[in-house]
Amino acid sequence: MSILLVKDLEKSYRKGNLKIPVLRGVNLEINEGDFVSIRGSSGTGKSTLLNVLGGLDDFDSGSLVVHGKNILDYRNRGEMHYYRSTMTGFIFQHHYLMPDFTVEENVMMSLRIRGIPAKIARTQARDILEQTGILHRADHLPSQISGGESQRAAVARALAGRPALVLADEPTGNLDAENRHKFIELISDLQEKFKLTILVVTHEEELARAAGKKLFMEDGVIYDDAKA
Amino acid sequence: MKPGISFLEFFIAFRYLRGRDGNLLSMNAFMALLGVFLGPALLVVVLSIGTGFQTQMKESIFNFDPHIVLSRTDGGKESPIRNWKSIREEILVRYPKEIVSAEGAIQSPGILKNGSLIDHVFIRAVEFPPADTQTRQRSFPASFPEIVQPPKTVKADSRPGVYIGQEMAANLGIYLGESIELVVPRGQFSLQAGMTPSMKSFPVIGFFKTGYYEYDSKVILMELSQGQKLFSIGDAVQQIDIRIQNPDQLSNIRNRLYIQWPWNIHSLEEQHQNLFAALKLEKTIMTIIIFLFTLAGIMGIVIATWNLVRSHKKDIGIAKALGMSDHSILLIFTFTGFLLGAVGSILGIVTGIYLSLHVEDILGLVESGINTTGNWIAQLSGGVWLNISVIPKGVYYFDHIPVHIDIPTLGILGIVAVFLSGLASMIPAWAASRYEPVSIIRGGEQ
Repeated sequence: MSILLVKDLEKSYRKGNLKIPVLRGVNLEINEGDFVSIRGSSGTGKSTLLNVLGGLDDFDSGSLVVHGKNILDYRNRGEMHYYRSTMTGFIFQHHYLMPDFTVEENVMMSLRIRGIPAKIARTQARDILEQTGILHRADHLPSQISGGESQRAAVARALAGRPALVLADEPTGNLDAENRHKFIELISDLQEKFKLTILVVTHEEELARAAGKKLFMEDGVIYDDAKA
Repeated sequence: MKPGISFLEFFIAFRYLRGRDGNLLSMNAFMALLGVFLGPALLVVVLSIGTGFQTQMKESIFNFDPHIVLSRTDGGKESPIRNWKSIREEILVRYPKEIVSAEGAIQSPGILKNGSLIDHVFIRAVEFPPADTQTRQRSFPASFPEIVQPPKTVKADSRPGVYIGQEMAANLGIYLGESIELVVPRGQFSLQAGMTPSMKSFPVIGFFKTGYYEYDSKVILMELSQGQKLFSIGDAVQQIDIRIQNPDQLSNIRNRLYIQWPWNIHSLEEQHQNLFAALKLEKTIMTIIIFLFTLAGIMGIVIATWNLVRSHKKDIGIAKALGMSDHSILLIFTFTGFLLGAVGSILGIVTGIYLSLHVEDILGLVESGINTTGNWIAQLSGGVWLNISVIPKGVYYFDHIPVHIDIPTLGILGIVAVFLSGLASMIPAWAASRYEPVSIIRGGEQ
């Protein structure tokens, strides 16, 4: 079953009168349970693509269907927040945990935003924290845990609501070799265990290799990695 | 997912106010609270003392002065009212509920002579209540000024005499029982000398106090019969003094009386036009001060909420990326501002009330602190320190600082402050809700 269907997606940024095309007709289809990686050098439009897919940024033309629903329908109804909370889970390069809240509260946040009652959200949050191996840090503030642990907490937060599509933007970019390896192991295990649909953009060869489907992006266009 | 209010927004708002270290309040929130708190606290003190002064002054005038004065002129000159007793009866019968009393009276400027001391005074002759035949004491009505000398335990002298204000006694060094001479511009008329002033000697039988310096230093009270003799007007009076039940009906009753007796009718407000205008001006200025205080409070809320928004900009981006709606973001920061405003305003008002009620103790402490420090410095330097008084009694005429805590006004102030706090915080909260998550996330780690 197709989770993500992107056709002829185009997006440009404007700098004064200058139009800078970033996505030049992206076509992409991801099925349920796929683990897809997109590699490419800086400035090729990987992060922009992820932001568009995550509903954080607009696009100029083309179509984008997630879980059978056109993203424009959400936008036209002013329900992009609903799309973000139910359809996608984001893992950023930096963990972006909220510093005023404990690890558990951070994970609960994504569930509470979806309208899940606090008690159930707490149970679910503790469950996913256990799966990601940092339940022992549940009551710690982000400032009290290591970078690797923070990124695990960010993974827990992204997966907590079991979104249709998990988007990861250079998730190992800030990690050292050991933590990077542990992270790749974790994400691979979780993907296999929960049959997650993951799209990751990365520079990392190791992470890209972990994905079942490898793509390559250049000048705003996606190619099969084998052709690169 | 439709916009609504959930516990989540309040939870986040509370946490932002608490800060990261588990304190009761974050430093940012504490400083904002302090800013909001100071305005209402100072405002309540200013308002309570200001209103206290006004109330005391108005009460002094209202208690002492007749509310409506009815007098008659003939050919441009004041004409004594001979049938004043029948007019009085008619007034009281016509307005049994509205009018408390109607009395014949004489009021005139005069000159006081006490040995070599001469001063201009204001003579007021009214009917005194008759003295008890056995105790020889008089029971003065509530409208009569407070008699401070002789003390109530001492029997009042029912012999003819005058009461003078305690300030006049102090200023001119007049003792109880001492005789003073009064000169008034009405006396016998002769063809050779024309009008000769009338002069009579009166013993001072008591000192009174109204609380209004102008009266306590210038007015002399005497019994109507003595006034009639001094002014040589037989059993007539110069005016009929009317006191009413409800001061709000002053103009209405004055106009109704004028229809019946189209003479000279002056209400209290007309007689004290300048004073009441000054009080009104004072009230206007106080209202402007209140407005400015409120404005400062609102700005405090806007700045505090704006600081909170800026310091949590990254969080806003993340929360929106997680799917939090604009409505929820708006609610979070409106609620933080509202909470700061509500707690700050209520604490400020309560503190203001406490300070107002203890303003004399506080000023006493300040005064003693200044004087102790002054004396200590003087001792060290070998100089002399003259003790100062923060509110010198010789300059400000009151033996205590009048404070009037106007609970309804403070209640309205509190409600308005809380409402405006919420409203003011909506400006930065709205700006926060408009943040684009992608621009914050693209900005990278901060």
